Amino acid sequence: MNPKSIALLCIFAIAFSDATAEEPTQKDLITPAMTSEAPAAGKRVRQVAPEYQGTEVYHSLYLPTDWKPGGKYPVLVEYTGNKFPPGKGSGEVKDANLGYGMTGGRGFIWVVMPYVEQGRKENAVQWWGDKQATVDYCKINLPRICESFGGDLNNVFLCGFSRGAIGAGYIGMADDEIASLWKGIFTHDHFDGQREWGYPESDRESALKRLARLNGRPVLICGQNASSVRDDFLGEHLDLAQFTFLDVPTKEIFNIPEGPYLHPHTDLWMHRESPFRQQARDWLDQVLNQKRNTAPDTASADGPVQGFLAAHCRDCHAGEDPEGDFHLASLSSDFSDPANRQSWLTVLQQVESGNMPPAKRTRPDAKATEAFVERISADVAAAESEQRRTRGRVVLRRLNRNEYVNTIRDLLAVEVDLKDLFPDSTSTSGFDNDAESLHTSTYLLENYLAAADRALDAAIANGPRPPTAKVRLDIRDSTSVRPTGSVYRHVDDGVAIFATSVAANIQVTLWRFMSRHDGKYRFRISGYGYQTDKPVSFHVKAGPMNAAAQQYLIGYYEVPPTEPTVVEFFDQMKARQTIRIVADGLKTQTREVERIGADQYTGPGMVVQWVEAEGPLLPSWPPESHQRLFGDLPQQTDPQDRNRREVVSQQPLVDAERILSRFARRAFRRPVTHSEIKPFLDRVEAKLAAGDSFEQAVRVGLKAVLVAPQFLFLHERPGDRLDDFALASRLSYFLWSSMPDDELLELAEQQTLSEPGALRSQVERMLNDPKSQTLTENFTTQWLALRAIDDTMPDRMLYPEFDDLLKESMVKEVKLFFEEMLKRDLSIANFVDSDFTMLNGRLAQHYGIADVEGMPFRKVTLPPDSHRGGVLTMAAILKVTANGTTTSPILRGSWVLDRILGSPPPKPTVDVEAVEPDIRGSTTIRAQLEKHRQDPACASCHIKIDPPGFALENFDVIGGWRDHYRSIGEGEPVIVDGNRMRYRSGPPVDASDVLADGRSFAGIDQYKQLLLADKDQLARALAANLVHYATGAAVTTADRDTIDGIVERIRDQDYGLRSLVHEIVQSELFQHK
Amino acid sequence: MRHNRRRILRAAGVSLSLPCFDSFARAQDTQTQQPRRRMVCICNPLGLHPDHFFPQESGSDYALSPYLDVIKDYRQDFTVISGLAHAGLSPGFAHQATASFLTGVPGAGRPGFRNGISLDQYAAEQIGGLTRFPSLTLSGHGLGLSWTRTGAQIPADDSPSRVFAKMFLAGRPDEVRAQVRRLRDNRSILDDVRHQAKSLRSDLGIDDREKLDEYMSSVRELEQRLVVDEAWSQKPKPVVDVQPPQDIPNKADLIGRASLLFDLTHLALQTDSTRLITIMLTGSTSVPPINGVNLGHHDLSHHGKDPGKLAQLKLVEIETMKTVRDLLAKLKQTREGEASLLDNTMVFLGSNLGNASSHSVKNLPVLLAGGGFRHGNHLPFDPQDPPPLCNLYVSMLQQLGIETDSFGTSNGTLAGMEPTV
Repeated sequence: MNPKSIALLCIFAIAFSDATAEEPTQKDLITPAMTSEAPAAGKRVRQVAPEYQGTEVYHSLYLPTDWKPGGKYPVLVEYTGNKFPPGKGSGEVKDANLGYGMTGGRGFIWVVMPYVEQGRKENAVQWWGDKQATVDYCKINLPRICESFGGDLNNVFLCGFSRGAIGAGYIGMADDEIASLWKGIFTHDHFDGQREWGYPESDRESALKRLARLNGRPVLICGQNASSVRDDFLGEHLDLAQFTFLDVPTKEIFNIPEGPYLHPHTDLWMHRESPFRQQARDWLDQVLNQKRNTAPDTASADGPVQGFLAAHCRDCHAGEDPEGDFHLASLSSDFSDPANRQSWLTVLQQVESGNMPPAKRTRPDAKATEAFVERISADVAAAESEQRRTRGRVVLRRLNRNEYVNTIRDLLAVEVDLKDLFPDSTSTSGFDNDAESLHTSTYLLENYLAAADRALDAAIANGPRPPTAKVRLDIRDSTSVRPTGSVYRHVDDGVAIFATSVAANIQVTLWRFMSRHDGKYRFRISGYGYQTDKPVSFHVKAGPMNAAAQQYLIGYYEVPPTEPTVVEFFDQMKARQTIRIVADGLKTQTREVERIGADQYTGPGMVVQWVEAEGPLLPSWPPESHQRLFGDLPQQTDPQDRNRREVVSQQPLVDAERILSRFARRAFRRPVTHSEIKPFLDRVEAKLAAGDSFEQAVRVGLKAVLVAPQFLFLHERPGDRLDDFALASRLSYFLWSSMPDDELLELAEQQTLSEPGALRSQVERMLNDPKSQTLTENFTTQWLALRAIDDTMPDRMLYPEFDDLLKESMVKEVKLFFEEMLKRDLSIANFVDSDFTMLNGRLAQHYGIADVEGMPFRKVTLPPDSHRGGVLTMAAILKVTANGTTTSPILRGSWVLDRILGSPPPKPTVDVEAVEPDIRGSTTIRAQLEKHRQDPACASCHIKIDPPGFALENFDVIGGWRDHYRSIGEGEPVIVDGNRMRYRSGPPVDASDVLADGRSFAGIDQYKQLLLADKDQLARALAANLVHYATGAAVTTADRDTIDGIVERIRDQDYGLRSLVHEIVQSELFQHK
Repeated sequence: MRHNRRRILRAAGVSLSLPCFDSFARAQDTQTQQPRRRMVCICNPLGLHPDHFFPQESGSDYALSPYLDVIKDYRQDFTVISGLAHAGLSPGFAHQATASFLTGVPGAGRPGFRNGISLDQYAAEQIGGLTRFPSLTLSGHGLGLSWTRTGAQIPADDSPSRVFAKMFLAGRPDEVRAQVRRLRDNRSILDDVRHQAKSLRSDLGIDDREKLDEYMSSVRELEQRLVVDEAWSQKPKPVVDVQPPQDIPNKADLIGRASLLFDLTHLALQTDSTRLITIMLTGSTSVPPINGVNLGHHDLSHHGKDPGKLAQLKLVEIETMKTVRDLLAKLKQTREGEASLLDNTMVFLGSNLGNASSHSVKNLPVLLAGGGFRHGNHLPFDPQDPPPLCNLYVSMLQQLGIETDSFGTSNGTLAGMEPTV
């Protein structure tokens, strides 16, 4: 369809044949005719742009009657309707009326812009002509006109009638740049996207995309049937702009049925006084007086931004081959575009840090830099708050893997292993509950279906109660250990084990025990330390009989010397598994025991007397999960399968509705309406009709609830505070990583949850609940990167002392430390330095701290010379920031800046190769980095990055203290406990450095004190991380004030961690989408 | 950016809304007419030590490097390429760069990084409908290499026995019936929740809608896939005369695991169960069970120039090359019409790491075998200013018969690897 025939369609759609109307009279406004004179007040003149000299392309310019040279005036830009003879519309620029009617010729500069025809020789009177040329014409000429005649670029309005009303979107929001020009828009008759016209991108999706570029600015939609624009089209999109709809009965204004001269589809309606015109003008006044969010100052050539860029950046970052592949033209003034905001922030970072302009160029003066930084920060923050108001901070958030699994557990009351169905979350945003980075794919959805099947299978009891078996195994009789000899000695009351080797399968495997069913099992092990006066530690693993590699750790335990003691523990086990006891607390090598002979061996051992296993432990049958779904409905044996029983119902539809409503309410974490449930019920009914059994049909309904978007996503509304149900979910996913419990939902139902007092006592209740361990688990492991603990295996030659118990202990230390701080509301300064930590014997030995023995962790007051205290010097942190062989001050330094100080270093501006580590003992990392730091391109960042890294140089890759590097080449021999080590003592460590601000330190102890000088900064960094975790969205510049407020309030509470959690929950950030 | 994403979502919806039975039917037709083009992409996540991988000389007369010596029998069937790299990656995120290995999206590992479609999935959009499985995403352990158009990672299968069962083991009749029923139930469920999502949508703001749209298009695509799955589930599976593989539980046994995956690859291609396979090999922190090796694989890759470690690393990587050799041998020995299976299958071996010890992401080891290209050369590029690795991907896509002149960060095909179809 060509544009002409489209236009005809338009005409027939609107024209009616017997129209007659009253001609405008003397008391009406009359638009001044366009002349070719020079521009002057009250005159309307034809202007030709320099690019179009010699063509018929032109725009018209009207200067208001009150115009004076040197004044500043708002501007009204207009696009005309199509050529439309029945309404006397010529489609030409010279015949436009709408804008004149709106202003009455006063107060505004009025510009009618052309549609540039294909070929760029004349204006188009039908449709868009050359769209790009039309858009460019406006973008180029509007600033020119404003500059010449005092137009205020901060106060430009766009209006249009008919084609022009559509053009307000199609042309006026064709790209971010042109859309950024308008303070507000008004249209009469038609609207972009209300209907399709046949030219490309006239569809709704495209139109909405254009409209989104307004980012919430005001729009007045007038028309003979403006409300239909709302009802048929924009009703669902009212968040895109501040819309006002005004129905204008043009026929009434002009008494059209009585006179022959005017068509109701006209741009003349504001030429006559009417209440409608008054409403339109009131709108214009009001918007004119609003402050614009997106200050076009950033774009204006004489503003602090463009001026700065021109003076200091343009030389290198423009043209064909800009430096660093960064071109100034890639920055736009549209701060509503997040990517553009990010680019500006990068520029800001470079300028603020002093990286740019480079040292060899003239320094910008401090004032100009300040103005530049301030302007951009303000623009970014304004755009973000605007977005916040209309869209919220957090995008629709899907449950992540942990949250999904926990929710299934709490919803169905089942313990079922689903993790294999969902890949590890690979968030690059710091936290795996970050809403933006949680995506959905067909694969994920398919796994949700499979997970729902598995969970329902576990929840619904389709068979008789599985027998609970209890066995006590005397390992002397079993095949668990070889006969006396090797590393074992049979004693009167058990078997003594003297050494363990997992690799050689010398460990106690309970071959005679195998779990028959999935479920919870209780184990009791009786034993004692043999030929020793110290406790003996061991660990227990569970897994399939023959697949040693699929084992998982149940836990570490210990038995005291001599005194037979029972160790009891529980495990959620799958069917067909057994356990293994590994006495790895006995440090001896198996070959050492074998050499002496187990009967003669006098070293310490562990006697195991017996092992008791009981399970599956079932408090009731059918289990609670089954009763929760089906209540007391009876079961019958499946006629086709004697071993299978199914729930049956006398009144299937009634029961199905009850079951599904109750289930959906809990699953969706809020009340559900009948219409929401209905599709599920219809499905159940259809299944029943098709011959499915009651249980099969209900299962389909339940499964549908479990893959429904209401279950998988957390639904929060932007604008006002979250409703109590959304708040309940936010709270419970923050503190429990799971769905709200009944108490929270009840408070939400009563709408009392959001009261500050109620909220405070709920937070207390929830933190005191064991489920809050997930906060420690998920928050600390991500904030402090503990999930990377297994990413590297320390070099066995360099670090022979490393073992699994040490690794488990170091992770546990961090978690217990966090828990202790949370429990006692201790100051967050403890994260940098503390006089205590949480230790067991193994870790204390590693840290060289005396008098801490055994497996259990306890709070230990640190001796003054320990160099420990705070998370920085915890072994787990020191391990995850190293690679297993060497440490890198760059990686550790970046880590401290990012995680502890909240100021992640910028990425390298030049493409550098990493430093290649060298462990041959001839050079140190400091010597290698010295070269790096002498390069000015690197130095500006590395004077910030490297010092915290050097401060940690006294700690090796497993967090042990070192005065010398370990070397596999040159160096002095090293003897430990009488054994010559395979590594040597390499060059000495130098952990001193100077901070960027000139303060120097000799090592870690002094560095910590320097960090503590600014507790607010530590609090801000931690608060930002917690808010990110609590809400699912990273904090941005717009959140700065709120974060500062939170920090201020916890300052009065000595920076307590628990107080911080409370303040976050009470904050606006937490209570708004 | 936001808007582009939307467009992409819609585009994905369109390309997948092709009537699936058509493509199902087409598969039968085309099988007889033209050679089946296939692609296998393998990533060795801890790199291949460059001194032992790259030859010194360029062209066809190069002296074999220690690693290439392992596959010397196929010298005329492969090209070794040096100097290539992906743009926009940094050593600080060298391991995370596995995410962009087949996508070429810059900035892997950085905050806010959003991945794009991987090479195999791009191809699967075009030719995936021809086979029972549009593609296979395999892994020695854990994550794989394939990503959807919306930037979601496709879960990788690391159990050869499970994949084997999926491809070749016929279920009992009652199992097949139960499976068909489950597929139908799932389709009705998806239909229901799609309507739920639709009514939820009107209540959402624009950003939220993008998230929900992702959900809705996933629902729609899955519904369509289930239709195809149902059709296939009623067709007999191919019969192969081999014992089902036994999974190797030891995660450190990277060589054993690679062998199983490669055997499966051969079977899958031979039976035309799929034409697109990605394989992430294992990079373990544990000690692999290889004679002469007593240090963890990852530890060895951070050799710090220690000659002892380098020697052990060589032992590990030689073993890896032997598994590649065995794969090439099987493909070469399998005839398909006039040609060998290798002639119709591109085998691409590379890594996200150029030099594991320094975490360099430049000068990646790249080897391309088979697939009908002219081979036998060492193609060197300047590591300081190489063409993007994605150029090779464009060559590969074209060789698959897919009409495209760009992929990821490409700016053309790779000079020296001109497609022959």
